[in-house]
Amino acid sequence: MDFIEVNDSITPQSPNNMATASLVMGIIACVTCCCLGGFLFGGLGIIYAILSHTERELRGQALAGIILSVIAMLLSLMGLIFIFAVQGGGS
Amino acid sequence: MKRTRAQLKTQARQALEGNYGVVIGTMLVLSVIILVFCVLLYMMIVYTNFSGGLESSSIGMALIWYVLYWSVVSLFGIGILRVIYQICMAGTADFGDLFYAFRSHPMRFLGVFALLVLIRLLANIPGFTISVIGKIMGGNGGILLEYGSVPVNLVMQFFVSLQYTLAPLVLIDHPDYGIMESLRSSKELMKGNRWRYVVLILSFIGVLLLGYLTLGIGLLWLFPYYQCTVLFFYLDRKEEYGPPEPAPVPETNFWS
Repeated sequence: MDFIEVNDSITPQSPNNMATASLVMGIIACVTCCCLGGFLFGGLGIIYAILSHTERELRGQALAGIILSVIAMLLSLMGLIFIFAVQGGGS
Repeated sequence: MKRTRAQLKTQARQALEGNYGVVIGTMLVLSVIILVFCVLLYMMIVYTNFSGGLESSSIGMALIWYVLYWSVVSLFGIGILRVIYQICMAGTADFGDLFYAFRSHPMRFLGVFALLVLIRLLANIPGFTISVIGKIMGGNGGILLEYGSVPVNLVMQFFVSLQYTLAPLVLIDHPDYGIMESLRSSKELMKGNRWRYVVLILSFIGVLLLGYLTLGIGLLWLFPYYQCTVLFFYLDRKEEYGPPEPAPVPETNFWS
């Protein structure tokens, strides 16, 4: 009878709420970046990702949260610059 | 053991993991309490003004109200620190810790805060002197000196009060300590570590700016993180040097 080899080195990670919150905030930031929500939710996403960093390495969820948040903040910034440029050109 | 900034911050994040709700909840309750207190204070001031009985001493009354407000806010501030201290040391805290300063010799805490205010006021002397010289000189140079006295004041206040910055934590950690003992202990702990503390504080600027970008919502999580890191800095210093033992109280026989 064959037994499945169990790799002891792989231990299940305990859920990290902050990392999950970071990912969720990153997604919301990306969705709302057109209406400057990127700053609000993106900022929260980055903060949660930083606070979730309690182990040696950053969780995948937190990393994804940071990337999405930064992208959303950049998009919001570009939107803001575009609005100011249009207003400046019109006046 | 001298821990690095990263180690102190990791310790703080680990201690706060799963406990943010307690701290944030306590902070929100405190905000409501202070709001209610301010409204009551405002109503009392308005009432006393309308009744006209205290017109002659309105400045004195304003000072009393201000001291009352300052005392309550300071004592609740210690309560928040106590909540964070309990989370970091015992892993849990309860709502009653918010009132810790009120039931644990409140005059000790108020005394330390009053002395810190006095020290900051004294630190203004060089800036005030520069400002007076500017006023006497007049002209563009004088105006420059007057405006220049403001940053001088801020920098002096910061650096003079820096060595006593751990005094409230010493008082929370040692309920048997008095005002002067806590200040002395803080000075001892900060000796040779002021720059390390300044760098630790400055390392929070980035996340604090991010917190302001979120309309202050992120600060609800960042404030406990910051305070917890400072607490671990204090514990690190204490572990290395150990605060000086309080001066022994001479045993006096009352009847002899």
